Amino acid sequence: MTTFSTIFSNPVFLNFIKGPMVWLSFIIFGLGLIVQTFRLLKLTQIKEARRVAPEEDLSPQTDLSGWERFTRYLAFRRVSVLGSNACLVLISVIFHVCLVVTPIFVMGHNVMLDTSFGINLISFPEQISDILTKFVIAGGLIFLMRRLFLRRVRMISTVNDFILLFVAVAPFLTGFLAYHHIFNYQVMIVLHILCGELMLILIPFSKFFHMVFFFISRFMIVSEHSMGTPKRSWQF
Amino acid sequence: MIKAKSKPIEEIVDYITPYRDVLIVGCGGCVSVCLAGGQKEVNILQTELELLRDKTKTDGQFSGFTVERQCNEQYLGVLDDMVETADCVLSMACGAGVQLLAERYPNKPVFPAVNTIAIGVDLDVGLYEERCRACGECVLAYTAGICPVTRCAKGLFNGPCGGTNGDKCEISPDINCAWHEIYTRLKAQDRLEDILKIHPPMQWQNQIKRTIVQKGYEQRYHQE
Amino acid sequence: MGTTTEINTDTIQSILKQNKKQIKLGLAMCAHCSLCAESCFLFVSHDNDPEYMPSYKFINSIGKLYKKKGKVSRQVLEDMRDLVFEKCALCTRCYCPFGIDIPALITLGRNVCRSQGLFREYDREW
Repeated sequence: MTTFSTIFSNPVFLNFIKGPMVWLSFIIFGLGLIVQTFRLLKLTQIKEARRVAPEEDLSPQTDLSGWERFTRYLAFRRVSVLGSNACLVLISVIFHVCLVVTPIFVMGHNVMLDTSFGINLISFPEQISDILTKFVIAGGLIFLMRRLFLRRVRMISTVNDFILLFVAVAPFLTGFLAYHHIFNYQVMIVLHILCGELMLILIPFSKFFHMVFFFISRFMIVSEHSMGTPKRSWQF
Repeated sequence: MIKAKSKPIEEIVDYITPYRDVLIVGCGGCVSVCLAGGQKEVNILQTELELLRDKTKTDGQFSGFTVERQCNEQYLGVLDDMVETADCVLSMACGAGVQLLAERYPNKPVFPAVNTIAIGVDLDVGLYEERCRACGECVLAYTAGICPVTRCAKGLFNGPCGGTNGDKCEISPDINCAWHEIYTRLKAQDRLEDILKIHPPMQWQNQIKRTIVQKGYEQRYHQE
Repeated sequence: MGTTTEINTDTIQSILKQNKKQIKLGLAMCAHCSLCAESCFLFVSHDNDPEYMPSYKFINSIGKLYKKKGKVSRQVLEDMRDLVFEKCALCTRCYCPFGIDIPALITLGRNVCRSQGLFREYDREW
Protein backbone atom coordinates (compact mmCIF):
# COMPACT_ATOMS: atom_id res chain seq x y z
CA MET A 1 0.00 0.00 0.00
CA THR A 2 1.38 3.36 -0.95
CA THR A 3 1.40 5.63 2.01
CA PHE A 4 2.94 9.02 2.48
CA SER A 5 5.90 7.46 4.21
CA THR A 6 6.42 5.17 1.24
CA ILE A 7 6.48 8.12 -1.14
CA PHE A 8 8.52 10.18 1.27
CA SER A 9 11.29 7.59 1.36
CA ASN A 10 11.19 6.76 -2.32
CA PRO A 11 14.67 7.61 -3.62
CA VAL A 12 13.50 8.79 -7.05
CA PHE A 13 11.05 11.22 -5.46
CA LEU A 14 13.65 12.40 -2.96
CA ASN A 15 16.28 12.97 -5.60
CA PHE A 16 13.79 14.92 -7.64
CA ILE A 17 12.73 17.31 -4.91
CA LYS A 18 16.26 17.74 -3.63
CA GLY A 19 17.70 18.21 -7.08
CA PRO A 20 15.85 19.38 -10.19
CA MET A 21 12.91 20.74 -8.23
CA VAL A 22 15.17 23.03 -6.21
CA TRP A 23 16.67 24.40 -9.40
CA LEU A 24 13.24 24.78 -10.92
CA SER A 25 11.89 26.62 -7.90
CA PHE A 26 14.76 29.07 -7.82
CA ILE A 27 14.57 29.64 -11.57
CA ILE A 28 10.84 30.31 -11.42
CA PHE A 29 11.43 32.55 -8.40
CA GLY A 30 14.23 34.51 -10.08
CA LEU A 31 12.71 34.81 -13.55
CA GLY A 32 9.30 35.44 -12.06
CA LEU A 33 10.62 38.33 -10.01
CA ILE A 34 12.35 39.84 -13.03
CA VAL A 35 9.31 39.49 -15.29
CA GLN A 36 6.90 40.86 -12.70
CA THR A 37 9.24 43.79 -11.96
CA PHE A 38 9.37 44.72 -15.62
CA ARG A 39 5.59 44.49 -15.88
CA LEU A 40 5.28 46.72 -12.84
CA LEU A 41 7.72 49.31 -14.16
CA LYS A 42 5.79 49.43 -17.42
CA LEU A 43 2.87 50.84 -15.47
CA THR A 44 4.99 53.81 -14.47
CA GLN A 45 6.58 56.63 -16.40
CA ILE A 46 9.67 58.70 -15.84
CA LYS A 47 8.72 62.05 -14.45
CA GLU A 48 11.60 64.25 -13.44
CA ALA A 49 10.81 66.76 -10.73
CA ARG A 50 10.42 70.29 -12.05
CA ARG A 51 12.89 72.89 -10.94
CA VAL A 52 11.13 76.07 -9.97
CA ALA A 53 12.29 79.59 -9.20
CA PRO A 54 10.03 80.60 -6.35
CA GLU A 55 10.20 83.70 -4.20
CA GLU A 56 11.34 81.86 -1.09
CA ASP A 57 14.51 79.93 -0.47
CA LEU A 58 13.90 76.25 -1.16
CA SER A 59 17.21 74.84 0.10
CA PRO A 60 16.55 71.99 2.50
CA GLN A 61 16.88 72.85 6.14
CA THR A 62 19.94 71.09 7.42
CA ASP A 63 20.44 73.10 10.56
CA LEU A 64 17.47 71.96 12.61
CA SER A 65 17.82 72.47 16.30
CA GLY A 66 17.51 69.51 18.63
CA TRP A 67 14.09 70.81 19.61
CA GLU A 68 12.92 70.93 16.01
CA ARG A 69 14.21 67.44 15.39
CA PHE A 70 12.36 66.17 18.42
CA THR A 71 9.17 67.89 17.32
CA ARG A 72 9.42 66.34 13.87
CA TYR A 73 10.05 62.94 15.35
CA LEU A 74 7.04 63.15 17.64
CA ALA A 75 4.86 64.45 14.83
CA PHE A 76 6.06 61.61 12.63
CA ARG A 77 5.15 59.10 15.31
CA ARG A 78 1.68 60.59 15.51
CA VAL A 79 0.86 60.78 11.83
CA SER A 80 2.54 57.66 10.56
CA VAL A 81 1.47 54.08 10.88
CA LEU A 82 4.15 53.78 13.59
CA GLY A 83 1.90 55.87 15.77
CA SER A 84 -1.46 54.35 15.04
CA ASN A 85 -0.29 50.72 14.85
CA ALA A 86 3.07 50.71 16.58
CA CYS A 87 2.77 47.16 17.92
CA LEU A 88 1.88 45.60 14.61
CA VAL A 89 4.56 47.50 12.71
CA LEU A 90 7.19 46.35 15.19
CA ILE A 91 6.01 42.73 15.00
CA SER A 92 5.89 42.91 11.23
CA VAL A 93 9.44 44.27 10.98
CA ILE A 94 10.80 41.56 13.25
CA PHE A 95 8.85 38.91 11.36
CA HIS A 96 10.10 40.07 7.96
CA VAL A 97 13.72 40.46 9.02
CA CYS A 98 13.75 36.97 10.54
CA LEU A 99 11.92 35.57 7.51
CA VAL A 100 14.61 36.79 5.14
CA VAL A 101 17.65 36.29 7.34
CA THR A 102 16.96 32.81 8.73
CA PRO A 103 17.10 30.75 5.52
CA ILE A 104 20.29 32.48 4.40
CA PHE A 105 22.28 31.95 7.56
CA VAL A 106 20.94 28.63 8.84
CA MET A 107 23.54 25.91 9.30
CA GLY A 108 21.51 23.18 7.64
CA HIS A 109 21.26 25.01 4.32
CA ASN A 110 24.84 26.23 4.31
CA VAL A 111 26.28 22.77 4.95
CA MET A 112 24.43 21.57 1.85
CA LEU A 113 25.63 24.55 -0.17
CA ASP A 114 29.18 23.83 0.88
CA THR A 115 28.91 20.11 0.07
CA SER A 116 27.26 20.69 -3.30
CA PHE A 117 28.96 23.79 -4.63
CA GLY A 118 31.78 24.63 -2.23
CA ILE A 119 30.03 27.89 -1.34
CA ASN A 120 31.09 28.85 2.14
CA LEU A 121 28.52 31.15 3.76
CA ILE A 122 28.59 32.28 7.36
CA SER A 123 26.01 30.54 9.51
CA PHE A 124 24.41 31.53 12.76
CA PRO A 125 24.83 29.25 15.74
CA GLU A 126 21.92 26.85 15.73
CA GLN A 127 20.38 28.32 18.88
CA ILE A 128 20.15 31.69 17.15
CA SER A 129 18.53 30.23 14.05
CA ASP A 130 16.15 28.43 16.36
CA ILE A 131 15.12 31.66 18.08
CA LEU A 132 14.70 33.46 14.76
CA THR A 133 12.51 30.64 13.50
CA LYS A 134 10.38 30.91 16.62
CA PHE A 135 9.95 34.63 15.91
CA VAL A 136 8.67 33.84 12.44
CA ILE A 137 6.23 31.25 13.72
CA ALA A 138 5.08 33.55 16.53
CA GLY A 139 4.66 36.41 14.07
CA GLY A 140 2.60 34.18 11.83
CA LEU A 141 0.42 33.21 14.74
CA ILE A 142 -0.12 36.85 15.67
CA PHE A 143 -1.10 37.66 12.07
CA LEU A 144 -3.50 34.73 12.11
CA MET A 145 -5.13 35.84 15.37
CA ARG A 146 -5.39 39.35 14.04
CA ARG A 147 -7.05 38.20 10.87
CA LEU A 148 -9.51 36.02 12.75
CA PHE A 149 -10.41 38.30 15.62
CA LEU A 150 -10.08 41.90 14.49
CA ARG A 151 -13.23 42.88 12.63
CA ARG A 152 -11.54 45.46 10.48
CA VAL A 153 -9.09 42.85 9.15
CA ARG A 154 -11.63 40.05 8.95
CA MET A 155 -13.93 42.19 6.82
CA ILE A 156 -11.46 42.41 3.99
CA SER A 157 -9.90 38.95 4.33
CA THR A 158 -10.28 36.13 1.88
CA VAL A 159 -9.42 32.42 1.94
CA ASN A 160 -6.33 33.33 -0.06
CA ASP A 161 -4.98 35.34 2.87
CA PHE A 162 -5.12 32.36 5.21
CA ILE A 163 -3.62 30.01 2.64
CA LEU A 164 -0.73 32.34 1.86
CA LEU A 165 -0.03 32.96 5.54
CA PHE A 166 0.26 29.22 5.96
CA VAL A 167 2.49 28.91 2.89
CA ALA A 168 4.79 31.59 4.31
CA VAL A 169 5.10 30.08 7.77
CA ALA A 170 5.08 26.40 6.73
CA PRO A 171 8.76 26.19 5.71
CA PHE A 172 9.74 27.60 9.09
CA LEU A 173 7.33 25.43 11.03
CA THR A 174 8.35 22.24 9.23
CA GLY A 175 12.02 23.16 9.49
CA PHE A 176 11.62 23.73 13.20
CA LEU A 177 9.79 20.44 13.70
CA ALA A 178 12.33 18.54 11.61
CA TYR A 179 15.31 20.05 13.40
CA HIS A 180 13.87 19.17 16.78
CA HIS A 181 12.88 15.70 15.58
CA ILE A 182 9.26 16.29 16.54
CA PHE A 183 7.04 13.85 14.62
CA ASN A 184 8.65 11.72 11.92
CA TYR A 185 11.87 13.40 10.77
CA GLN A 186 11.70 12.07 7.23
CA VAL A 187 8.15 13.29 6.73
CA MET A 188 8.95 16.69 8.22
CA ILE A 189 12.07 17.25 6.19
CA VAL A 190 10.33 16.32 2.96
CA LEU A 191 7.45 18.64 3.83
CA HIS A 192 9.98 21.34 4.62
CA ILE A 193 11.55 20.99 1.20
CA LEU A 194 8.18 20.96 -0.53
CA CYS A 195 6.89 23.97 1.44
CA GLY A 196 10.05 25.91 0.71
CA GLU A 197 9.78 25.19 -3.00
CA LEU A 198 6.09 26.08 -3.04
CA MET A 199 6.78 29.39 -1.33
CA LEU A 200 9.57 30.26 -3.75
CA ILE A 201 7.38 29.52 -6.73
CA LEU A 202 4.46 31.50 -5.37
CA ILE A 203 6.40 34.63 -4.41
CA PRO A 204 6.41 36.40 -7.81
CA PHE A 205 2.78 35.55 -8.53
CA SER A 206 0.97 36.38 -5.32
CA LYS A 207 0.80 39.20 -2.81
CA PHE A 208 4.24 38.03 -1.64
CA PHE A 209 5.53 40.10 -4.52
CA HIS A 210 5.26 43.05 -2.13
CA MET A 211 8.84 42.04 -1.47
CA VAL A 212 9.75 44.03 -4.60
CA PHE A 213 6.68 46.23 -4.97
CA PHE A 214 7.26 47.87 -1.61
CA PHE A 215 10.68 49.12 -2.59
CA ILE A 216 9.69 50.24 -6.06
CA SER A 217 6.68 52.22 -4.91
CA ARG A 218 8.39 53.68 -1.85
CA PHE A 219 11.66 54.71 -3.49
CA MET A 220 10.97 55.02 -7.18
CA ILE A 221 7.46 56.41 -7.51
CA VAL A 222 6.75 59.91 -6.30
CA SER A 223 3.95 60.40 -3.80
CA GLU A 224 3.32 62.05 -0.47
CA HIS A 225 4.74 58.98 1.24
CA SER A 226 7.71 58.26 -0.97
CA MET A 227 11.28 58.50 0.30
CA GLY A 228 14.46 59.71 -1.34
CA THR A 229 14.24 61.26 -4.82
CA PRO A 230 11.86 59.18 -6.86
CA LYS A 231 11.89 59.78 -10.59
CA ARG A 232 8.74 57.98 -11.61
CA SER A 233 5.01 58.39 -11.36
CA TRP A 234 2.11 56.09 -12.14
CA GLN A 235 1.02 56.17 -15.73
CA PHE A 236 -2.60 57.01 -16.42
CA MET B 1 -8.63 73.58 -6.41
CA ILE B 2 -7.77 76.15 -3.81
CA LYS B 3 -4.15 76.06 -2.75
CA ALA B 4 -3.06 77.12 0.70
CA LYS B 5 0.10 77.22 2.72
CA SER B 6 0.53 76.93 6.47
CA LYS B 7 1.19 80.05 8.46
CA PRO B 8 4.43 80.39 10.40
CA ILE B 9 4.08 78.67 13.76
CA GLU B 10 4.97 81.87 15.63
CA GLU B 11 1.96 83.63 14.15
CA ILE B 12 -0.35 80.80 15.16
CA VAL B 13 1.05 80.71 18.69
CA ASP B 14 0.43 84.45 18.88
CA TYR B 15 -3.26 83.94 18.09
CA ILE B 16 -3.89 81.18 20.59
CA THR B 17 -1.75 82.34 23.52
CA PRO B 18 -4.62 83.92 25.46
CA TYR B 19 -6.74 80.77 25.20
CA ARG B 20 -6.56 77.54 27.14
CA ASP B 21 -8.28 74.76 25.22
CA VAL B 22 -7.86 74.85 21.46
CA LEU B 23 -9.79 72.83 18.89
CA ILE B 24 -7.89 72.38 15.62
CA VAL B 25 -10.26 71.70 12.73
CA GLY B 26 -9.02 70.23 9.48
CA CYS B 27 -10.75 70.08 6.11
CA GLY B 28 -10.98 67.11 3.76
CA GLY B 29 -11.36 69.29 0.70
CA CYS B 30 -8.88 71.48 -1.16
CA VAL B 31 -6.42 71.89 1.71
CA SER B 32 -6.19 68.14 2.17
CA VAL B 33 -5.33 67.64 -1.47
CA CYS B 34 -2.63 70.31 -1.44
CA LEU B 35 -1.18 68.93 1.81
CA ALA B 36 -1.86 72.06 3.84
CA GLY B 37 -4.75 71.36 6.18
CA GLY B 38 -5.84 67.74 6.16
CA GLN B 39 -5.95 65.28 9.03
CA LYS B 40 -2.21 64.71 8.88
CA GLU B 41 -1.48 68.44 9.08
CA VAL B 42 -3.90 68.76 12.00
CA ASN B 43 -1.95 66.07 13.85
CA ILE B 44 1.40 67.63 13.05
CA LEU B 45 0.24 71.08 14.15
CA GLN B 46 -1.24 69.62 17.31
CA THR B 47 2.08 67.95 18.13
CA GLU B 48 4.03 71.15 17.53
CA LEU B 49 1.71 73.31 19.59
CA GLU B 50 1.56 70.81 22.46
CA LEU B 51 5.33 70.67 22.60
CA LEU B 52 5.62 74.45 22.57
CA ARG B 53 3.11 74.67 25.38
CA ASP B 54 5.06 72.04 27.34
CA LYS B 55 8.18 74.12 26.88
CA THR B 56 6.55 77.25 28.25
CA LYS B 57 4.61 75.31 30.84
CA THR B 58 1.33 76.80 29.69
CA ASP B 59 -1.94 75.11 30.54
CA GLY B 60 -4.56 73.90 28.15
CA GLN B 61 -5.67 71.03 25.98
CA PHE B 62 -5.43 70.63 22.24
CA SER B 63 -7.82 68.47 20.26
CA GLY B 64 -8.08 67.88 16.54
CA PHE B 65 -10.86 66.86 14.19
CA THR B 66 -11.18 66.82 10.42
CA VAL B 67 -14.46 67.35 8.63
CA GLU B 68 -15.31 66.59 5.04
CA ARG B 69 -15.50 70.27 4.09
CA GLN B 70 -15.66 73.48 6.08
CA CYS B 71 -17.34 75.45 3.31
CA ASN B 72 -20.67 73.73 3.76
CA GLU B 73 -22.72 73.83 6.97
CA GLN B 74 -24.06 70.31 6.62
CA TYR B 75 -20.64 68.98 7.59
CA LEU B 76 -20.16 71.27 10.58
CA GLY B 77 -22.83 69.89 12.89
CA VAL B 78 -20.48 67.23 14.21
CA LEU B 79 -18.23 70.00 15.58
CA ASP B 80 -20.84 71.71 17.75
CA ASP B 81 -20.14 69.83 20.98
CA MET B 82 -16.40 70.04 20.54
CA VAL B 83 -16.48 73.77 19.90
CA GLU B 84 -18.66 74.25 22.96
CA THR B 85 -15.95 72.88 25.25
CA ALA B 86 -13.07 74.66 23.52
CA ASP B 87 -11.92 78.19 24.26
CA CYS B 88 -11.01 78.92 20.69
CA VAL B 89 -10.97 77.24 17.27
CA LEU B 90 -8.00 77.01 14.94
CA SER B 91 -9.16 76.22 11.42
CA MET B 92 -6.89 74.74 8.79
CA ALA B 93 -9.36 75.36 5.98
CA CYS B 94 -9.21 78.03 3.34
CA GLY B 95 -10.53 81.50 4.09
CA ALA B 96 -14.03 80.47 3.12
CA GLY B 97 -14.10 77.62 5.63
CA VAL B 98 -12.68 79.78 8.42
CA GLN B 99 -15.39 82.34 7.85
CA LEU B 100 -18.21 79.83 7.83
CA LEU B 101 -16.93 78.43 11.11
CA ALA B 102 -16.72 81.93 12.57
CA GLU B 103 -20.30 82.58 11.47
CA ARG B 104 -21.57 79.35 12.96
CA TYR B 105 -19.81 80.00 16.26
CA PRO B 106 -19.97 83.76 16.67
CA ASN B 107 -19.15 83.59 20.36
CA LYS B 108 -15.92 81.66 19.88
CA PRO B 109 -12.70 83.09 18.46
CA VAL B 110 -11.91 81.33 15.20
CA PHE B 111 -8.36 81.64 13.84
CA PRO B 112 -6.90 80.67 10.46
CA ALA B 113 -3.90 78.34 10.52
CA VAL B 114 -3.18 78.58 6.81
CA ASN B 115 -2.89 81.35 4.25
CA THR B 116 -5.17 80.83 1.26
CA ILE B 117 -3.00 81.53 -1.76
CA ALA B 118 -4.77 80.80 -5.02
CA ILE B 119 -6.91 78.73 -7.30
CA GLY B 120 -4.33 76.57 -8.96
CA VAL B 121 -3.21 73.35 -10.51
CA ASP B 122 -1.17 70.42 -9.24
CA LEU B 123 2.14 70.36 -11.08
CA ASP B 124 3.52 67.57 -8.96
CA VAL B 125 3.20 66.21 -5.43
CA GLY B 126 3.76 69.21 -3.20
CA LEU B 127 4.13 71.62 -6.12
CA TYR B 128 1.24 73.87 -7.06
CA GLU B 129 0.83 76.88 -9.31
CA GLU B 130 -1.73 79.66 -9.35
CA ARG B 131 -3.73 79.76 -12.54
CA CYS B 132 -6.90 81.63 -11.69
CA ARG B 133 -7.71 84.72 -9.71
CA ALA B 134 -11.49 84.44 -9.85
CA CYS B 135 -11.86 87.72 -11.64
CA GLY B 136 -15.35 86.76 -12.75
CA GLU B 137 -14.78 87.67 -16.39
CA CYS B 138 -13.00 84.76 -17.91
CA VAL B 139 -11.29 85.69 -21.18
CA LEU B 140 -9.55 82.36 -21.71
CA ALA B 141 -11.58 81.83 -24.86
CA TYR B 142 -9.63 84.64 -26.56
CA THR B 143 -6.25 83.97 -25.08
CA ALA B 144 -5.85 80.32 -26.03
CA GLY B 145 -6.33 79.21 -22.44
CA ILE B 146 -3.60 81.41 -20.98
CA CYS B 147 -4.84 83.75 -18.29
CA PRO B 148 -3.56 87.30 -18.71
CA VAL B 149 -4.67 88.17 -15.18
CA THR B 150 -2.46 85.63 -13.43
CA ARG B 151 0.25 85.17 -16.01
CA CYS B 152 0.87 88.75 -17.12
CA ALA B 153 2.61 90.88 -14.50
CA LYS B 154 0.62 93.92 -15.60
CA GLY B 155 -2.63 92.04 -16.21
CA LEU B 156 -2.81 93.42 -19.73
CA PHE B 157 -5.69 92.46 -21.95
CA ASN B 158 -4.66 93.51 -25.38
CA GLY B 159 -1.17 92.32 -26.13
CA PRO B 160 2.24 92.70 -24.55
CA CYS B 161 3.66 95.86 -23.10
CA GLY B 162 6.74 97.62 -24.46
CA GLY B 163 8.94 95.88 -21.94
CA THR B 164 8.53 92.43 -23.42
CA ASN B 165 12.01 91.01 -23.68
CA GLY B 166 12.18 88.36 -26.39
CA ASP B 167 9.83 85.85 -24.88
CA LYS B 168 10.42 86.89 -21.30
CA CYS B 169 8.71 89.38 -19.05
CA GLU B 170 10.70 92.50 -18.28
CA ILE B 171 10.44 91.95 -14.55
CA SER B 172 12.37 88.68 -14.54
CA PRO B 173 14.24 86.46 -16.99
CA ASP B 174 12.58 83.46 -15.36
CA ILE B 175 9.05 84.53 -16.24
CA ASN B 176 7.74 83.95 -19.73
CA CYS B 177 5.88 86.80 -21.37
CA ALA B 178 2.27 85.63 -21.20
CA TRP B 179 1.35 87.52 -24.36
CA HIS B 180 4.17 85.91 -26.27
CA GLU B 181 2.80 82.52 -25.24
CA ILE B 182 -0.74 83.57 -26.09
CA TYR B 183 0.35 84.71 -29.51
CA THR B 184 2.31 81.51 -30.16
CA ARG B 185 -0.52 79.24 -29.18
CA LEU B 186 -3.21 81.19 -31.05
CA LYS B 187 -1.02 81.20 -34.13
CA ALA B 188 -0.62 77.43 -33.93
CA GLN B 189 -4.40 77.12 -33.77
CA ASP B 190 -4.92 79.69 -36.49
CA ARG B 191 -6.96 81.92 -34.21
CA LEU B 192 -4.98 85.15 -34.18
CA GLU B 193 -8.10 87.23 -34.93
CA ASP B 194 -9.18 86.61 -31.33
CA ILE B 195 -6.59 89.02 -30.01
CA LEU B 196 -6.89 91.45 -32.88
CA LYS B 197 -10.23 92.53 -31.39
CA ILE B 198 -9.85 95.14 -28.69
CA HIS B 199 -11.10 93.89 -25.37
CA PRO B 200 -12.48 96.40 -22.88
CA PRO B 201 -10.63 96.74 -19.58
CA MET B 202 -11.48 94.28 -16.89
CA GLN B 203 -14.18 95.38 -14.49
CA TRP B 204 -12.26 93.81 -11.59
CA GLN B 205 -15.36 92.25 -10.10
CA ASN B 206 -13.25 90.42 -7.53
CA GLN B 207 -12.75 93.55 -5.44
CA ILE B 208 -16.09 93.16 -3.68
CA LYS B 209 -17.81 90.10 -2.26
CA ARG B 210 -19.82 88.33 -4.96
CA THR B 211 -22.83 86.08 -4.59
CA ILE B 212 -23.33 83.31 -7.10
CA VAL B 213 -26.78 81.96 -7.92
CA GLN B 214 -26.55 78.98 -10.21
CA LYS B 215 -28.71 78.73 -13.30
CA GLY B 216 -32.11 77.28 -12.48
CA TYR B 217 -32.09 78.47 -8.89
CA GLU B 218 -33.02 82.11 -9.50
CA GLN B 219 -36.62 81.63 -8.42
CA ARG B 220 -35.64 79.93 -5.20
CA TYR B 221 -33.38 82.69 -3.95
CA HIS B 222 -35.30 85.57 -5.47
CA GLN B 223 -35.84 88.33 -2.94
CA GLU B 224 -39.14 90.22 -2.94
CA MET C 1 -31.69 62.29 -11.72
CA GLY C 2 -31.57 59.98 -14.74
CA THR C 3 -34.63 57.95 -15.53
CA THR C 4 -32.92 55.00 -17.05
CA THR C 5 -32.29 51.98 -14.87
CA GLU C 6 -30.57 50.06 -17.62
CA ILE C 7 -26.96 49.25 -17.02
CA ASN C 8 -24.62 49.49 -19.95
CA THR C 9 -22.30 46.57 -19.24
CA ASP C 10 -20.24 47.31 -22.35
CA THR C 11 -19.27 50.73 -21.05
CA ILE C 12 -18.33 49.34 -17.67
CA GLN C 13 -16.30 46.58 -19.27
CA SER C 14 -14.51 49.05 -21.48
CA ILE C 15 -13.48 51.15 -18.48
CA LEU C 16 -12.34 48.01 -16.68
CA LYS C 17 -10.44 46.84 -19.73
CA GLN C 18 -8.65 50.16 -20.22
CA ASN C 19 -7.42 50.10 -16.65
CA LYS C 20 -7.16 46.38 -16.19
CA LYS C 21 -3.49 46.38 -15.22
CA GLN C 22 -3.80 49.03 -12.52
CA ILE C 23 -6.88 47.40 -11.04
CA LYS C 24 -5.28 43.97 -11.08
CA LEU C 25 -2.12 45.31 -9.47
CA GLY C 26 -4.00 47.06 -6.69
CA LEU C 27 -6.12 44.03 -5.92
CA ALA C 28 -3.19 41.59 -6.08
CA MET C 29 -0.82 43.67 -3.95
CA CYS C 30 -3.32 44.46 -1.23
CA ALA C 31 -2.26 42.34 1.72
CA HIS C 32 -5.56 43.06 3.50
CA CYS C 33 -3.64 44.43 6.44
CA SER C 34 -5.96 47.38 7.22
CA LEU C 35 -3.04 49.70 8.00
CA CYS C 36 -4.53 52.26 5.63
CA ALA C 37 -7.41 52.88 8.02
CA GLU C 38 -5.99 55.57 10.27
CA SER C 39 -4.83 57.66 7.35
CA CYS C 40 -8.44 58.24 6.32
CA PHE C 41 -9.93 61.16 8.23
CA LEU C 42 -13.42 59.83 7.55
CA PHE C 43 -12.50 56.54 9.24
CA VAL C 44 -11.20 58.44 12.24
CA SER C 45 -14.10 60.87 12.42
CA HIS C 46 -16.70 58.11 12.09
CA ASP C 47 -15.51 56.31 15.17
CA ASN C 48 -13.20 53.91 13.37
CA ASP C 49 -16.03 52.41 11.30
CA PRO C 50 -14.23 49.84 9.12
CA GLU C 51 -16.49 50.58 6.15
CA TYR C 52 -14.48 53.78 5.75
CA MET C 53 -11.15 51.98 5.42
CA PRO C 54 -9.57 52.85 2.08
CA SER C 55 -8.92 49.15 1.40
CA TYR C 56 -12.53 48.25 2.12
CA LYS C 57 -13.68 51.03 -0.19
CA PHE C 58 -11.66 50.08 -3.21
CA ILE C 59 -12.06 46.32 -2.76
CA ASN C 60 -15.84 46.62 -2.56
CA SER C 61 -16.20 49.09 -5.39
CA ILE C 62 -13.84 48.67 -8.34
CA GLY C 63 -12.66 45.35 -6.87
CA LYS C 64 -16.13 43.87 -6.84
CA LEU C 65 -16.77 45.18 -10.32
CA TYR C 66 -13.56 43.65 -11.61
CA LYS C 67 -14.27 40.26 -10.06
CA LYS C 68 -17.76 40.22 -11.56
CA LYS C 69 -16.31 41.35 -14.91
CA GLY C 70 -18.64 44.34 -14.94
CA LYS C 71 -21.81 42.27 -14.89
CA VAL C 72 -23.58 43.71 -11.89
CA SER C 73 -27.04 44.78 -10.89
CA ARG C 74 -28.12 48.35 -10.35
CA GLN C 75 -28.18 47.75 -6.60
CA VAL C 76 -24.50 46.83 -6.61
CA LEU C 77 -23.73 50.03 -8.49
CA GLU C 78 -25.76 52.08 -6.06
CA ASP C 79 -23.94 50.52 -3.12
CA MET C 80 -20.73 51.33 -4.95
CA ARG C 81 -21.86 54.90 -5.40
CA ASP C 82 -22.38 55.16 -1.68
CA LEU C 83 -18.85 53.91 -1.05
CA VAL C 84 -16.97 56.03 -3.55
CA PHE C 85 -18.96 59.25 -3.40
CA GLU C 86 -20.39 59.40 0.11
CA LYS C 87 -17.85 57.45 2.11
CA CYS C 88 -14.87 58.90 0.30
CA ALA C 89 -13.97 62.57 -0.19
CA LEU C 90 -11.13 61.75 -2.61
CA CYS C 91 -8.85 63.88 -0.51
CA THR C 92 -6.04 61.62 -1.86
CA ARG C 93 -4.27 61.31 1.47
CA CYS C 94 -4.72 57.57 2.03
CA TYR C 95 -1.58 55.71 2.99
CA CYS C 96 -0.78 52.17 1.98
CA PRO C 97 2.32 50.48 3.46
CA PHE C 98 3.00 48.96 0.06
CA GLY C 99 2.27 52.09 -1.91
CA ILE C 100 -0.86 51.07 -3.76
CA ASP C 101 -2.42 54.13 -5.40
CA ILE C 102 -5.80 53.92 -3.71
CA PRO C 103 -7.18 57.29 -4.90
CA ALA C 104 -6.67 56.20 -8.49
CA LEU C 105 -8.80 53.11 -7.88
CA ILE C 106 -11.53 55.12 -6.17
CA THR C 107 -11.46 57.49 -9.15
CA LEU C 108 -12.00 54.53 -11.48
CA GLY C 109 -14.94 53.50 -9.34
CA ARG C 110 -16.36 57.01 -9.69
CA ASN C 111 -15.81 56.91 -13.44
CA VAL C 112 -17.81 53.71 -13.71
CA CYS C 113 -20.61 55.16 -11.59
CA ARG C 114 -20.75 58.31 -13.67
CA SER C 115 -20.85 56.29 -16.86
CA GLN C 116 -24.05 54.73 -15.58
CA GLY C 117 -25.62 58.00 -14.51
CA LEU C 118 -24.79 57.57 -10.83
CA PHE C 119 -22.99 60.35 -9.05
CA ARG C 120 -22.95 62.35 -5.90
CA GLU C 121 -26.12 64.34 -5.56
CA TYR C 122 -24.77 67.77 -4.96
CA ASP C 123 -28.26 69.18 -5.44
CA ARG C 124 -29.76 67.12 -2.65
CA GLU C 125 -31.51 69.11 0.09
CA TRP C 126 -29.57 69.65 3.29
